[in-house]
Amino acid sequence: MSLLSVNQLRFSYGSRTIFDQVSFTLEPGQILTILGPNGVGKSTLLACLTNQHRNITGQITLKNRPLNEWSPTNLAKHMALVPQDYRTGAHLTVIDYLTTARAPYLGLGQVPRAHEEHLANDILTELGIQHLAPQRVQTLSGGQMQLVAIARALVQEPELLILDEPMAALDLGRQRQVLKIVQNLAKRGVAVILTTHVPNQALLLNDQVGLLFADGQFLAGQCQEILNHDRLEKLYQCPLKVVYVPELGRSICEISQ
Amino acid sequence: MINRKSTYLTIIIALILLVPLTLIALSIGRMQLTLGQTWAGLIDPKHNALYANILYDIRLPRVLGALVIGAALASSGIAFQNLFNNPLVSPDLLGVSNGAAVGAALAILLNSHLWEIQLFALAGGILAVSITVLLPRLVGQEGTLILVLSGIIISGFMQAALGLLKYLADPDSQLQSIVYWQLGSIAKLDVKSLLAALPMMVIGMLILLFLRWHLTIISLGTQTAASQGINVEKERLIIIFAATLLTSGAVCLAGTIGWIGLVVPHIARRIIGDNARFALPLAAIFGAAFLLVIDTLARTLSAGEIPLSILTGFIGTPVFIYILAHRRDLIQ
Repeated sequence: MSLLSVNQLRFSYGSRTIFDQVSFTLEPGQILTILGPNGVGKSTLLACLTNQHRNITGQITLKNRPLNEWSPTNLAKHMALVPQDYRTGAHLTVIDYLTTARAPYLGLGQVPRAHEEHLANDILTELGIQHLAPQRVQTLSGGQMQLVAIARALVQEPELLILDEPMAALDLGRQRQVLKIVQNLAKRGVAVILTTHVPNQALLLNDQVGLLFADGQFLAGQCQEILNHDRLEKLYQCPLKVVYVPELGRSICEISQ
Repeated sequence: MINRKSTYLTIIIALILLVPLTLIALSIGRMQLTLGQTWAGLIDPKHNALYANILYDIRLPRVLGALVIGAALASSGIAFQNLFNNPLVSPDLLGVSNGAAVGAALAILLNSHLWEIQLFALAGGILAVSITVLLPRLVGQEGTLILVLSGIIISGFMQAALGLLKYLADPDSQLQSIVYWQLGSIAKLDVKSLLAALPMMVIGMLILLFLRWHLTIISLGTQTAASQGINVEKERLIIIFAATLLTSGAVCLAGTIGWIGLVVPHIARRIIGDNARFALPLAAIFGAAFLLVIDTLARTLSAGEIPLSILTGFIGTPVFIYILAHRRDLIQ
């Protein structure tokens, strides 16, 4: 049984088709990296996967159950999204911000207690940022904020974590940190979907890859089968080189001129 | 690990401090009592008939009224601020107070019963806040500024409507009671009207306390709250209803008292942080204490009665300027 199964998904704004025939499956512990040029609809695809768009055709099933049959609360216990624009909660402390993610598990009128705060604290510790707990969210740097946003999603204890361009504004060190977090989650059986503009990150993660082309076509599969020179040049409409680097044990993709 | 003890302790200490503050307020007046006399009059009215009369007939309804109204306005303010994720709004700025005043004035004009005045005030408050919230959508804009502007527009409209009602009122009887009540005073507050307004205010307060943590989550924005499985649209309506119940109840009892719903929540948040889960109870306690002090000043500073809005205005404006100067992040 697949965790997530997407079959012939199509979404359009009015007469303009954003993407068509998106199909893939995701098992627990798999990482799907979605690549595509700017404005092609990657975030829209993620919004569909988190049941934020109703007017879709095709089928999305989570644990063999159509996505639109899930109650919002129950869905929130299984999947968590870190949006690209994560600048919310500026006024709260990091720990208070994190525990808001426990809402799906707490009844109306209940408030987070020591259990919830311990859980949030454990996740901060795991990500190596436990010292941020008492700080206000608005005082965080961009890199810290991204880690806190991921931590908040993890406090939700999802089986599927969806990250919209989690490394877009991060330096190499922070990028590596996020990549490690993603890999560790996958080892524990959490499925991860992320979008990125850097093919090298998909090559490094070396798991599932989805390519969303400007004409709305979608191609998904194993990284090594999918990511080749011709497809990447077609994807980004620019001359590229894909070179195998023995020292790294993998290929890298660079602009060629 | 974060230590929550100081947070809870702050709320408990504030609550405990209300008791001596209330006793002091009860002892102050035209006939000055000592704290001992006040205490004796309260707990043993039979043997202290003189003190007991003053306390139970004159001062206690007024002091209790100040506590209830202050708590109601401050809670309502913090609810609206979280709801719209906008620390610059308050029941006054959103037009709720003036809307409720128009409703109540209309009911007075129609020589209605007490409960009808309350119902009209509630309807007026809900109508005003609905238009304030819908207006930015109608003109196709959103954000802090347009919501505040919309509130100013609706408040202005409601003030004009109130002016019209005063113009239409019978100058010998109705006009006087509308004007007096509109200025904001709890001098004439009696036990009967306090008890009549109490249920709606208690219900509003209980709803807000029940949803106080969801208020924090809703303040993160609709999308974030919805992705936590929260039915944002429904809870937003319930919170608007509860906060409007509180404001309308306060308006029915004491007219429009400005500034409390804006300034007191800020003071509470500065002390305990922005999480509505803790800021709401503390703001309610501070609101009660604040209006108690203001009302005690209003009845003792001069021989006559100073309308409450004059005092809250003189205290509220400098505090608000201070807030604007020190928290520039509030105005994005």
